[in-house]
Amino acid sequence: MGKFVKSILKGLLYVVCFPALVAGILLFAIFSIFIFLFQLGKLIYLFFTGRTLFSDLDEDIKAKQILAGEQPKDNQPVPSSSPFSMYPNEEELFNEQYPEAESNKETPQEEQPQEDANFEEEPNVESNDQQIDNNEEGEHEN
Amino acid sequence: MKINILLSLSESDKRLIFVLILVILLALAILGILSYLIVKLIKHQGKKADTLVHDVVVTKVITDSRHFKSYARKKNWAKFFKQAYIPVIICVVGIIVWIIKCAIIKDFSYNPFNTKDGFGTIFYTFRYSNEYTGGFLIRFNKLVVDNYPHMVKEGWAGYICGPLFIVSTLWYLGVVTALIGRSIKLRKRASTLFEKSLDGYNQSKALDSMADQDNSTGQQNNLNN
Repeated sequence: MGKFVKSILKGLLYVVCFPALVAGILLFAIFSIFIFLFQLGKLIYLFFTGRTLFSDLDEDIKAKQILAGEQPKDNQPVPSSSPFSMYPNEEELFNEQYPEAESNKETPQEEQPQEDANFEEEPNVESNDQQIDNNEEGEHEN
Repeated sequence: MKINILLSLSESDKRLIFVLILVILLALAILGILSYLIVKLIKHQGKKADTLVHDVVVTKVITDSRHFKSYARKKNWAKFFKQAYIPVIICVVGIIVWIIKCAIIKDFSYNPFNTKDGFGTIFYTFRYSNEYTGGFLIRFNKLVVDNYPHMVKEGWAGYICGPLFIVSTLWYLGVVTALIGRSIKLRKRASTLFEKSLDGYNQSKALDSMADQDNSTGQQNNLNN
């Protein structure tokens, strides 16, 4: 019974609101004519600047870049996924600037003193150079 | 004091009253259904508004209500223009046909919907005659057919303009309804997307839980060492 009365009252409300609804739509229709004309003017202006009204806005471009996994081209900070991080996308920025660090992170190595690491690298470089020289000499001989 | 009101209704009066009540109920039902459909259409169109702003909100390119409102308005109006230009072009074509007709007959007061040489000639039209119908109490002027559907050569402009104007108007009103729906939805989103609520938040509890977390991580570190 309650449902029936409720639906009847709802129907009556719709009937009572109908004139206001129609009046609202008509008023908005008049307002929308101005919107249309404004958009038309904008379209013409954008046409002469080599763009269209339907082209992506700056925000859309940034959003697309983020969704594609790229960093936005202008250097404006993009909010990080973590609300508590101090700097936006600090991890991504760091990885871009120091890709070696990222590769090291993937293959963790045992901690070694800095000096030892330098000593190990130098002989390797020399050995590579020697190998290249030997190969070149071999080619000349042939 | 006793008041006696005697109404003697004839059989035709009773029938007429019954028909009148039916007509009023039917009219109210039609108005209610129309109103219901318009509200449904507005709500349905409002749901599509989310697709306009989804990406920039999810990627957090927009982080404040004011920026969101400005962006949403631009997108909403561009979408409206995209939807509305076809009915507007149809209407412009109709206006051009009407101007050509007016230029030919040299009369710019030509009504393309008239029943003489316009779109109205292909419809039944009615008028009230001087004869009365009904019972003793309720009487109406009789409705008689004024125009039977027919076509005339001079009405070519009306046959083109009339449908074009009707289609473009209905189409445009549908697009406006969609614009209203999207505007309402985006306004609601602007007020709810970035709001910060402290309902159910207790600072001392939050601090306690943070302290507990710190303690547990400290213990874990100790165990690891």
